[in-house]
Amino acid sequence: MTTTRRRPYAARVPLAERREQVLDAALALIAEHGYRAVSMEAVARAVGVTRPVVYGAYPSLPVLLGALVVREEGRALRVLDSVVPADPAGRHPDEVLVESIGAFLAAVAAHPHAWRLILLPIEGTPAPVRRQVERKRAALLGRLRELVAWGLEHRGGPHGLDEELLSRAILSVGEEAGRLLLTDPERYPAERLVGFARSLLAAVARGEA
Amino acid sequence: MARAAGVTRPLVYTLFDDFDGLLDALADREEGRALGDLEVALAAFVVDEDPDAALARGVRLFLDGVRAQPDRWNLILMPPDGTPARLRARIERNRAAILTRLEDFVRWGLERRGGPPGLDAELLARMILTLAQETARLVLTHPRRYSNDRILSFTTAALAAVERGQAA
Repeated sequence: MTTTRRRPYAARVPLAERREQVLDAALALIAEHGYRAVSMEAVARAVGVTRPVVYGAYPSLPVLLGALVVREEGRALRVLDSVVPADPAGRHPDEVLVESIGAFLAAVAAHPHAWRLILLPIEGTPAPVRRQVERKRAALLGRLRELVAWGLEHRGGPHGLDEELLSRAILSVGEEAGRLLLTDPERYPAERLVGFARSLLAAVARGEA
Repeated sequence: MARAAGVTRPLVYTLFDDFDGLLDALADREEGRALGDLEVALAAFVVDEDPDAALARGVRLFLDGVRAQPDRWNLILMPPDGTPARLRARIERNRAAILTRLEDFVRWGLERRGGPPGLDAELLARMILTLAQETARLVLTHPRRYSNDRILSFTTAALAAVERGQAA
């Protein structure tokens, strides 16, 4: 009889849903106060449950943080897949780039906590998280290089530009735009940032495609 | 630190009251020297000449400063975990001050080279600063792969591809 009184919340919320709640709470704590603010206790308080309920979802804090990284990484990766088009055929390269920047900034605005972890890494970010972000950045840079090569050819120049440095420049300027949107969205709304990219590209010389 | 300097611990304590005092003194010195390096680079901007050439020269002088003092610029551009918050705040303040001066240069440059007209000067200044920092990080991590020649020919070619209108 007494067993039915144990962990009343855990009994009502399915495990998958509870895990999502726990990860959401941990993410909000990290975004607001940094990794050092996260403990099983703090997560329990934020969710409004007892500590054993949190332990029922994840056996330890490292396991919880690992699961959080996997989830956020997955979300970011899916977004980036849609941001950098696999097959831009038939469209103007400048239009493809401006749309990609717009899609990226929309993703940042939709999931500010997740993107904060990636673009504004907080003091104490665990090494595995940093490495994952680094790997993702390297993979993205590789895809960007292919697009840049295609774009330079199709828009007809500028010819002879160092494609690796141009790809790196686009990536770091895109990241900076994401940071501006995260830290001061009123001063740097997405329209202003996208508008800048559009006018700058329009002023870059092109020749015979 | 005493070991690294080849002196005794008491000697270090006679120079600095405590660890925070030592860090502050180090920050004062490195900040002063880094700002000195930047002054040299920014001085390239006030010369009355073509803005693209002035920018390329500023980039070269900046990268020369970074290459000459990699430890100093590593601390500024890639502060390690555990860098005290007040040092980070100082770096941020200096960055904001540099950005303001860069913005003045960009407005002058846009007018003088005749465009691109209507370009957001503040965002362009931010873009130049971001690229300068990113380039310096590349130089710090792979000094040979990213030579000054390679970076400057990219900078010059990219600037040359940006349309000009009627110079003011």
